[in-house]
Amino acid sequence: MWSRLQLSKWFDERLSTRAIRVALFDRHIPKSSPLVEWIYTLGSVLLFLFILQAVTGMMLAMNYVASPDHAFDAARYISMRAPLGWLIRGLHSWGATAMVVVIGAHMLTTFLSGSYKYPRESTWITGVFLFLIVMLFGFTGYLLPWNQKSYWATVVGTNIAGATPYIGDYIVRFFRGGSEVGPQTLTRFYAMHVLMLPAALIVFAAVHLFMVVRQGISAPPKRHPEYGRHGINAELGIDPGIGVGTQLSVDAQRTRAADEYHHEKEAGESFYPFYLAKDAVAVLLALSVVALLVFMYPTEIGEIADPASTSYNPRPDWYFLFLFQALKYFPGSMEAVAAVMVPGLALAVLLAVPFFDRRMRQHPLDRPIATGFAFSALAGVIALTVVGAQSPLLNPYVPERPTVEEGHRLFHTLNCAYCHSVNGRGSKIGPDLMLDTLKHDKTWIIAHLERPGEVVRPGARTAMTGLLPDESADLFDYINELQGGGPYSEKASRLFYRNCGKCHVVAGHGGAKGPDLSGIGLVRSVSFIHRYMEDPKALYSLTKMPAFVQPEGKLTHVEIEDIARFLAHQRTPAPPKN
Amino acid sequence: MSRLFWGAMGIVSAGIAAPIASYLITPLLGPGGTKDWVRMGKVDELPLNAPQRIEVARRMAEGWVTEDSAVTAWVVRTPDKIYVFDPHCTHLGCAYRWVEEAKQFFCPCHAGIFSLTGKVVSGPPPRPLDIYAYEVREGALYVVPTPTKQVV
Repeated sequence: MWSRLQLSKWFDERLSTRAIRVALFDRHIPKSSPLVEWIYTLGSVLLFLFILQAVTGMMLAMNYVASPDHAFDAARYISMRAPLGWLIRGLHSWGATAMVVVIGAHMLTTFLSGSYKYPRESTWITGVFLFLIVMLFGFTGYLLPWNQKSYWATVVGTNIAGATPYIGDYIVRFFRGGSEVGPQTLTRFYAMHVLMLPAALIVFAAVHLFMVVRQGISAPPKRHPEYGRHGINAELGIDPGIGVGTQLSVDAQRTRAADEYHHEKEAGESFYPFYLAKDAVAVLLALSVVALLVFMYPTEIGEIADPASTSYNPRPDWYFLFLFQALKYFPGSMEAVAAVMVPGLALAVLLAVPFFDRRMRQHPLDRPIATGFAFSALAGVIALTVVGAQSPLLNPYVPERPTVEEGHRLFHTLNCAYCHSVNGRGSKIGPDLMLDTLKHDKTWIIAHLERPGEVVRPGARTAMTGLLPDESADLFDYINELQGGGPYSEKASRLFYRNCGKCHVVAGHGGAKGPDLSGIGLVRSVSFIHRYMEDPKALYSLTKMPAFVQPEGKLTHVEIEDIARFLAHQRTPAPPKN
Repeated sequence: MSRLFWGAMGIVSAGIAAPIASYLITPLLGPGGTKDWVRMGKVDELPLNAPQRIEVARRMAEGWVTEDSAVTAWVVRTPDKIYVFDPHCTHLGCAYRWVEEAKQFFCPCHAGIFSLTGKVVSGPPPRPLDIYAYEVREGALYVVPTPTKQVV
C-alpha cells in the first residue's frame, strides 16, 4: 500500500496540489487577541451551518411533496413517524435560525472592525448579497410545512412587497404565482428554496471565500486617529480650507495599511492547524447549541393552513418580527415607506458602506459616527423585536374547547349539513342542531352517529359509519355546545337579572348600559360566555364589564355556568332600532 | 475571434433568457381572480346590522390545479344596502374578525379597526375594506369573490 506521503506526491506531480495546500492551509493569519480570534470563527461557523442546512434539507426533500394536499401531512410524517425525522427537521429549522443570528453577528463585527474597507470592499458586497439570500431562504422555507403559521406569514410577507409603488401588484403575483397564496405559491417557493437560492448562495459564497483567501483575513483594527484628522496633507501639501494638523492622503493611508498588514501577517500563525482548530471548536459549539435547541424546543407541527380561517392570529418568525412591529407605527398612506422604502434604503446603505468613508481608520473608537450608527440600528431592531414579541393581541382569538373544535371540523368533513342545518344554514331533512330542541339524550345521539341504521331509520346509511368512539364524543360535544351546553336551573334567570340585569337586557327586561343579550346564544357559545363572565378583560381588553367570579365578583363557578347556559339559550334577537 | 465568441454567447443567453422571462412573467399579465357568481344564501335570512361570516365552496383553476376551495365573505345587511366584504384586512391581508361587544371589525395583526360599513376607524389600513360585487336575484345573494376597492 502507498503511504500518505507517496499519495500526496503522486497527486502533486500531476496537479501541483502542494501550491493549493500552501495557499489554503499554510497561509498566515495576522496575530490578534484571543477574543478577536474567536470572532474570526463566525465565518467558518456560517459555512458549516450552510452545509448542515444543505444536508438536512436533502433528507427532508426525500419525504416532502410541494402540494397543499400533501405538504402538511408530509411535514407531520417527518416529525412524527420518519425515523429521527424530528431531529432532521429540528436541525434544519433551528439551523436556519442559527444562520440568521450568526450572519448578523458576522456582519456586525465586520462592520465594527472596519474590515470591509480597502481592499475588501467587494468581499463585503458579496456578503450583503449572501445575507439577502439567507433571508430569502428563511422566507421561502417558512411556507413549506403548510401550516397556519407559515400560510399567514406568507400572506402578510407577500403583501408587504405589494406596497411597492407602481409594480407592487406584479411583485405579489410573481411570488404567489397567482392572485392568492395557493398551490402555485407552494411550488414556486419550493423551487426557489431548493434550487435557485442554493445555486445563488453557492456562487456568492465561492466568490466571497475566494476573495477572503486571496486577500488574507483582515488584521484586527489598531487605533489610527491621525488617519481621520483634517489638516495638512503630508503627501499633497497644504489642503486649502482645512485647519492645521497632519493627515495622510487616502492613497498614502492605503499604502501604509498594506505595509502594516504585510508585517502582521508574516508574524502570524498558519491557518492550519492553529486557526482551523479554533474553527472546529466553534463549529462543535454551534452544533451543540442547535442540537440542544432541537431537544428543548422541537419544531412544532401546527395546524394545517386554512385560507378561510378567521381564528388565527398571524405572527412572523422572530427574525422578521421587528419589521412586523415597525409596520404598526406607520399609517396606511405611509405603508410603502415602512414596508419597502426603509428596508430598501437600509440595503442600499449596507451596499454603499465601503464607499462612505474611504480613510483607513478601522478601529471602532476612531469612527464614532459609524460605531454609534451600528449600535443604534442594532438597538432599534432589538427593541422592536422585544416590543413585537411582548405586544398583547388587541383581539386575541379565543379557542373553543378542543373537543368542540374537533367536532366542528368533523361536522364539515362528514357533510352533516347534507341533512342538518345549523342556525338555519344547511339542509332541512333533519332537525336544526342549533335552533330546534333535540328530543334525544346523549346515548341516542352517539348511537345515531355510530349506528345510524339502527336508530335513525332501518337501513339508513350515512358517511358517519366507521366513526371512532373519540370522534363521536367530539361530535356530541359540538352538538351539545350548539344546543347551549345543556339544561340550566330555574334559578338561572333570577341570578341573571339580579347580577347582570342592571346593564343587560334579555327578553325586553334589564338595563341598557351594556349590549342587549336577547340573541347572544346565536353568536356566542356557552363556554365563551362562561369565560367572558369570569374574566372579560382577558377576552376583550376594552370592555367596561367587571369580572364576576369570586373573589373579584360574587358568583361561584357553578352559578356562572348556570347563567352562561341560560344566556346560551337566548336566541331571539331584539329587533334592530332604526 | 473574440467578437465571434461574444456574439455567439450573446445569442445563446438571449435565446435561453427570453423564453424563461416570458414563462415567468406571462402568468402575471392575465386578469386576476375569478368572474364566476357564487350563491351566498337568501337575503331575508340575513340579520340587520349584524355581520355574518358566510363560507361557500367554489371550484377554481389555478395553474394545473383545479381546487374546491372555500370562499369566505363578511356580509352586512344594513337597512339601505348590502355590503359583501373580502375577509382580508386592507393593510397586509390578515383575516379580521367581528367583535360583537365593540360592533367593529378588528384585525389582530396591526390593530386595524373597521366600522360596520367597512370604513377605517383606526390603525394602519390604507383604505376601507375591499368588497365583492353582488347581485340579488330572486331573493338570493350572489357575489363575485374577487376583491375590489370600495368607492367612497
